[in-house]
Amino acid sequence: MSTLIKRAAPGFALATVTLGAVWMFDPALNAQPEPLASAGDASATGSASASDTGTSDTGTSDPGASDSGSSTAGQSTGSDCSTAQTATGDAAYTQWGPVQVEMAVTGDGTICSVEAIAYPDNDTHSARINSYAIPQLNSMAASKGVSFQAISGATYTSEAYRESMQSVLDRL
Amino acid sequence: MTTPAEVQPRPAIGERRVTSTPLATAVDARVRRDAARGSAAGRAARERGPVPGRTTSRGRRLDPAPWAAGIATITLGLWAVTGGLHDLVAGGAATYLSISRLAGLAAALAALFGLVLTARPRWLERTAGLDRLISWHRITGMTAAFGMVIHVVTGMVAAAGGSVSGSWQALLHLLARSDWFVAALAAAILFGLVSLTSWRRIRRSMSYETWHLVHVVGYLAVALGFPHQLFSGSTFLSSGFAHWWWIGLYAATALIILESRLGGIVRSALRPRTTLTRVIPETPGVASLVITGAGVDSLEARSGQFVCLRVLTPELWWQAHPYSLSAAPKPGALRLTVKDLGDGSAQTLAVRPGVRVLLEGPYGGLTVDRAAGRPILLIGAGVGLAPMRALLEGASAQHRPVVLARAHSDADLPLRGELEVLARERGGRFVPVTGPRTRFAEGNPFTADSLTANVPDIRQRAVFVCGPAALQARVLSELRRAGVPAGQIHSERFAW
Repeated sequence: MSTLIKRAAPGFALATVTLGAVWMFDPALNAQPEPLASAGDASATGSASASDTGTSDTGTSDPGASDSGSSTAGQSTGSDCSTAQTATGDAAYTQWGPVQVEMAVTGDGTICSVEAIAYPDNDTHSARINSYAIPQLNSMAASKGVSFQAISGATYTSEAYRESMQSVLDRL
Repeated sequence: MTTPAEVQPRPAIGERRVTSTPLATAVDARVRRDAARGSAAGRAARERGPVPGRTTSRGRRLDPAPWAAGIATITLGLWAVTGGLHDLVAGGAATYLSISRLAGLAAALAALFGLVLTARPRWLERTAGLDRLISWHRITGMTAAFGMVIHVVTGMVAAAGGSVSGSWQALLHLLARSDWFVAALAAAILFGLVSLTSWRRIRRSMSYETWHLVHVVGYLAVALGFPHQLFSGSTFLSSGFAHWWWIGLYAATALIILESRLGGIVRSALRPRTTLTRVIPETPGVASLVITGAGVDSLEARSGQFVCLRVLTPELWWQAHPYSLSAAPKPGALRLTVKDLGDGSAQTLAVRPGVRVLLEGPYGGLTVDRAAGRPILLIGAGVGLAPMRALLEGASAQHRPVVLARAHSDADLPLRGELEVLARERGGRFVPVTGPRTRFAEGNPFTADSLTANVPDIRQRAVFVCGPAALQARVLSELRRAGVPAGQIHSERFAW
């Protein structure tokens, strides 16, 4: 047994050095996404500059995030958000856990505000991704409805977010 | 350069009183002469080690231990570096996720190791031996199967946010969310099938062909699991290094499989010409083939190994059969001993000498350096004596070889005269164990008791076993009962 450990030792040593280098220098691993100022406030974060946080593995930049379009419900104009009802969507599952939204929506389907009330955030990967993805999603969903573009680096969460929204709209 | 005659002069079957030692001395003399001249053939022969005491190959040997340790450390370390360790103690869904990720990584890595082992790359087989590769393959297979079950179950609970009751619904959501998860589920089911059919109890009730067909599906399972790891796994989404590391591991595995499956054929075709020059009948149904040509040297085969022989006639060129070397290879010539088992062997034995053949290999790790300085015991049955004969030639007096040779009758003991002479030359013993099975206690010619009676110092010896599967299995368990440590037992099956 001890000879086996002796034979394997160079492998262990080299692996440890490699891991140390990854731990210190891997750009994706060390990227610090800039947190958004007013997370959850849909109307104020329309122009959030979440350009490229470096966390993306797919590399495409996010057109939705840089779009500083209408700051309130984008789909249809003229509906009165004061009559909006608040509804909770179904949980939509990702491999990191369920995503669930709460929406203020008027009778004709106009979305006044959307907020994720449940999303995975206690594992390391989700905590890093969702700290910037969820506020963006909240803001994009409020302005564009379910047709918002998935956030790169948070594709699964974006899809689940959309699904949870859709479940509310389906109930109307 | 060489004539087959140098391989051939040897006592006839059943000849007991042989005083000269034509084989070993002729070869040794030639090797020494060549060595003195510094010829390439002499160097090659010396490195192959037919000279007593020079039994260790200096060939390309690669210790797999540091590689396996390094690759496993990096892979599992990436789990820790990407938050696995932190999440493990975070509680709730994160803990489930962390366990799932670790189990999944371990399972995938074990599956890759398993594929490499079953591809039997030559550098690995030479170091570890086929029997060890098979038993390691079994360990990696079981690790992968258990790891996969843990991965799927904890993964489902993690996806449900740590709730066991929601895990089924979570699974359905994942399947709908991404085709990669559909592929992964298919991979899990296929891999489960492969594992179940390899469970000894089920395996026994299946034909080899059916089992093998199912087992080959393992390749598909590993491939189907890959995308969900790369595109949906926290480890590979979190670290750019991990992403490329993983692609690299799969690519390396694919290359090793390709190299070892196709490389043998390609190398055999590129080798200088080799010819089947003689077919010598040994015992009923057993014959020796002498193959000569410059290509034999580049094979660098060693005593105890086997090669896959492809006879280039219009009827036989498409099939390759594994045959054992039955003598230490000589410069430009080697000898195989073959049993007519009803497949292509009968046709091979009927082939007209002078026909061109291709040699693939060498394969197998039943070489005398596995003895690691211990005295040796060689147990062979029937044509399984062929590799024992070659091993014995590679052994020296320090190995104090004992040969137990099993056959139904004296007339069925192939290579008997040679075995006797070689054993005596090395200060060892040749013990024929003949007669119908009913003659022996419990119908077993090799019980722990009879083994110990024949070879009192059996526990100190390195034991090499080759014979038909059923007998071999019995011998292996009796050896264990006789107190021989597993690490000292080296065996090889014919069938593969």
